[in-house]
Amino acid sequence: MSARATASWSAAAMVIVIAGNNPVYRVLVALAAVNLLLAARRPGRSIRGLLLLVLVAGFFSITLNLLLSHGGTHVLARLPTWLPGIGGLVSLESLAFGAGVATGVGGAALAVAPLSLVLEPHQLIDALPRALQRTGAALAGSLNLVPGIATSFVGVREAQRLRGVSAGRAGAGSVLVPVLLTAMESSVQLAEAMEARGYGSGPRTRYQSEPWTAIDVLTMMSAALAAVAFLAGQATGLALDWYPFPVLIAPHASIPMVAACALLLVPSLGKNRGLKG
Amino acid sequence: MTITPRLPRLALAAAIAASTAVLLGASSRVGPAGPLCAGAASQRHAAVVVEHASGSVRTACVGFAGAQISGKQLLAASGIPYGLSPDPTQGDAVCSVDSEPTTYPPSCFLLPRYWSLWRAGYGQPWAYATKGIELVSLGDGDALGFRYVRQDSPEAPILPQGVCPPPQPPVTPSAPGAPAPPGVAGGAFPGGGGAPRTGASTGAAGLGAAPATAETPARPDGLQDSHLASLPARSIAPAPPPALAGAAKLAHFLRAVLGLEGRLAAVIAALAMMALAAYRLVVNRMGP
Repeated sequence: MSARATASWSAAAMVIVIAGNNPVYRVLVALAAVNLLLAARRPGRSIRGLLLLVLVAGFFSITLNLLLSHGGTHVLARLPTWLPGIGGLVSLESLAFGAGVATGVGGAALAVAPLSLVLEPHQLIDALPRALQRTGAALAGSLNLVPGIATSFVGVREAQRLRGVSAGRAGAGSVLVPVLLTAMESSVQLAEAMEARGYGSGPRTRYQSEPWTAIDVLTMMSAALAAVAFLAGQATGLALDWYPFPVLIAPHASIPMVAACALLLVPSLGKNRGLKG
Repeated sequence: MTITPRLPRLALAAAIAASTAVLLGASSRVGPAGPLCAGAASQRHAAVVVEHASGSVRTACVGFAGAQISGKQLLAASGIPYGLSPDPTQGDAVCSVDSEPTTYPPSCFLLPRYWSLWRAGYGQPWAYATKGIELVSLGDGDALGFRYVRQDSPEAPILPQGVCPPPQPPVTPSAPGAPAPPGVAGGAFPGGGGAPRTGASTGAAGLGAAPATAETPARPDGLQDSHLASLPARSIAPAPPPALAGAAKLAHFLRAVLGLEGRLAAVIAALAMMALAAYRLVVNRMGP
């Protein structure tokens, strides 16, 4: 799938997740994202870590709202009021609100996940407008250095411990300075490597534009239709928001809005490019 | 082992195409229309003021028999089209008045705009109704107000000046046979006479000149709507004509069913997506 089509899909999914707070539509977007990741992720990329992250974020969201929101009529428990912040009643409405927020967090994370799990970094750089390509390349290069810096930090810290340097505040300088110097050295090496390959010396001589396929066109069209339909539903009242307060009711769902969310499934119907994981 | 993914993919493609067709062909739902009432010879009157989001105003004066009338009966008798959405916990919600909005979902009270409900005694300012339209009681000279407002700014409609005649003086028990003074539509409202600022008044509308009952029994909980039991039968049921009532019931039923269908469609879509994801996982684990 092309970078622009993937970015369009992510943008449409984010619109649906952010424009309203109805958990029904957010869950549908999250499921569509999981399907897209399973169908089109890069070889060797696993989505287990992402799903685990989403689950942990959802757990924290539910727990925090359960403890900090004290409204609602369906009381599950009462915490002592002398407990700062969390004292008071624990209600089913708070639990439902936390679950709704969790669907938003999870839906947003999964909506943008294809940009990193489906696309190669150079695809994203190539998809940028010409004016932003150098900035994008610099940013991508910087971000690529982050794992190296982390590895360098662990290595330097272990080496200093072996030398008897304490791990506390007193020994921080003896770790941070070598890490900083290593990072700068890595940056210089990267810049020299890019320069040796002719980066910035003129127009790209080997540039092959990404071919557009039918699934790319379909993805862009369906994503645009889904986003526009959802925004129209928001404006006309078809896509209702959901609040569990003051009365806990099931979230509303309308068939046109469900269909709009289902449109995000279109790119998942393409050829399966996923591998084990 | 090779699994051919074409068939389920085609089935899902067909499902999405069908849902897209539904998306493009979303039907509109219109609230039930109330009847136009004839006659203004009733002894008691209550005003209805409807102020739209655009600022246009529609008023009506409804004559009724008995001591009081409920807000729902008053609105039904005013001839102003309206739509309700039943809620199991909060009673009927007024979703549409005077065809605004023309379509609305079952839980219309969650929309960015809603019809705020107001009640005013004769010569008194509007008071935000804290009860549902069925539980709002109006007496002679009172007014029921609706204004289509945003959720965060419930503002009152214009005052019902001049919509209805002033209330009749109480009939003394010593002269039960004395004729009541005739009601005159278009009278002055204390605090300033004349017509409302804007909008088109529909004039007076009556439910018939049934004699008022003597006393209204008090409710144990202190609310004032149990007088309805003492109203004459034709005043208790100021409902639309049978055909319109049937259409209204059908509209409410369809609205409820469509709401259920939306949730059902969401569940089906979620299950289909989960099934597709499971299928992808199986195919990925088996390899190409």
